[in-house]
Amino acid sequence: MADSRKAKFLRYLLLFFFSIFFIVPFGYAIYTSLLSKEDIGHLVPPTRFTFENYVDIFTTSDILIWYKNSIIVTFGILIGNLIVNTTAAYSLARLNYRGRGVVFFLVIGMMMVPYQVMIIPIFSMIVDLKWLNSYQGLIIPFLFQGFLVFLMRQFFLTVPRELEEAAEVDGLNKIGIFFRIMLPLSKGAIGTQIIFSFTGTWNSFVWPVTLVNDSRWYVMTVGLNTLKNRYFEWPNLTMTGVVLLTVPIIIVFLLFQRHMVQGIATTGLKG
Amino acid sequence: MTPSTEMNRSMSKPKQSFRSRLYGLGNSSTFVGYLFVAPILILMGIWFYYPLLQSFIYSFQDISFLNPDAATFVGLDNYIEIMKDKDFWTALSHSFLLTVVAVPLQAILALVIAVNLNKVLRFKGLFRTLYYMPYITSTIAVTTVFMYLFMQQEGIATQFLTWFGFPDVSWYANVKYALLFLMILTIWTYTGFYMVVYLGGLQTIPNDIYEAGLVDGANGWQQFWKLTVPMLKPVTYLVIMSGIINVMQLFDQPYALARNGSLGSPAGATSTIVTYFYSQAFSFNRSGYGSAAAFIIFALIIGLSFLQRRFMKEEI
Repeated sequence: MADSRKAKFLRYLLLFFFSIFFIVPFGYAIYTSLLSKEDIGHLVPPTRFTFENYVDIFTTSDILIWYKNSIIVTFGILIGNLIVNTTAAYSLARLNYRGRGVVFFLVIGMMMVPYQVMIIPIFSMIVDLKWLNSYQGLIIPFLFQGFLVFLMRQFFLTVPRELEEAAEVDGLNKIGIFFRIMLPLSKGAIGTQIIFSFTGTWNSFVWPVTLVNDSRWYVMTVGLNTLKNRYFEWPNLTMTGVVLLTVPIIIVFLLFQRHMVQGIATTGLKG
Repeated sequence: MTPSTEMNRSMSKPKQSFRSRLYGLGNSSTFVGYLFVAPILILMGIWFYYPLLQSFIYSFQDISFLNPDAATFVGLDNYIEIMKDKDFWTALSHSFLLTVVAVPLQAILALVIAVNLNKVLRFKGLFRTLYYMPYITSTIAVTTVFMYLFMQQEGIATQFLTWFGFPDVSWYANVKYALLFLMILTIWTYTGFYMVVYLGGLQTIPNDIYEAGLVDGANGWQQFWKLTVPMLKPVTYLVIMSGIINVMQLFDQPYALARNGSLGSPAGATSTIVTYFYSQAFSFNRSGYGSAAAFIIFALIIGLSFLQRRFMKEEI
């Protein structure tokens, strides 16, 4: 039913009012990152904006290395996730075999356990393997995600059985069905997986801060935290770090936004 | 699927080519099923269930990273010691307070925004993206920005809040206001996410329900309370549950705002059950004690979810 003019106006007013609180922190970060040292804390016209903080931060800190580390770790985990979660989900959704129920229970069970329970033994394992400060240490323990297996499985369950039967008649075996029928159909679900995996890894902090103690192996989140501690008196520099950490995630989000919203709608929530 | 596999087997007498045998293998539900879960089974075993078991054993031991071979069995001592530790109860009370304040507030805000956003036609996508952005932004980035916003004298938010009688202090460094600072940070981060969840829920409510309500003469408010809120109950359940889990796990934000100070700075005002756990495990190197704390967090989360399920079911 349609709103009256007044109701419509009030709705927009309310939405706009709330928006202010969401915009200000982002605006503050971008604005401050463009200020020269003399202008910190002042309101200045855009003509005084400068990129010197960006130049400074790239030349004086290890941020390029942190960027590289973040990119390698994020993509390493993303690729692993796509392979491991998707194959497991297909197996759990569409293939019948002895013990499938147990495997499903083990996968779903992971969603209930908080990471704190695993972090101490995993830290010990990483130390024993001499994987502290290494890509292996930051990637290999995180190649699977119970929640994402669940999400993919829910999707595979919705694919009509007739499609598979038709494919079988055409001479495709189970593996063929997975590659030729299921994967092409699941672009949307894979998009959802990509955005959850990407944002989760890119923003993750507690694991990289625990598994790395050499600044050359920092990822962006850990790097920004040390930058903030070191240059706290210089908001122009720390905000430059904030912008550099945030921009990639915003880009990925805008590209895959549709899939994230769909993912939330189909599975309820990220656990 | 077994009959067809049997058939393939019976047909695969000596003369069958390698290619068709491979095809048959690829058509066996059992073979492909195991093949496809093998990666996750191996990884899960090594990086999830083995550490889970290990941690459970640690929790009954006096053990440290520094000298893991000198572990001794101490029974329930770790658990008992935690129960006697004043710092644990302080941390727990902070986590509890954060949950009780932030979770309902963010749920209410999310619902109010979602109901209004659902009704507007223009700029819907723009608003949704904007509200959602905090959730996908790094917690460290958000905390860093908020520290400047809530700084003494220079902070925009601090100055704004002085109009409402709040003092001109650096909130994150003030024993009295640091926890409130964490609450504001949490609400700001999660509201947009739960708003999108509610938006999804609202789209599943059939429109004719409202039309029937309109005929009965229900106005906007009555519709909201009598139709929308009850229809969204399953969504609210998810929002509250996930909110509790997220807030109980708060760690990055207190870690970041402590700067170079100890976890929970200023003076333990922002300690949560997770910072308590983390400092025991990694600052004091007490693996056994830390593991026991981790299992207490686990139990708390499970317990709260059962309690909440109970509570939500009894209502109405």
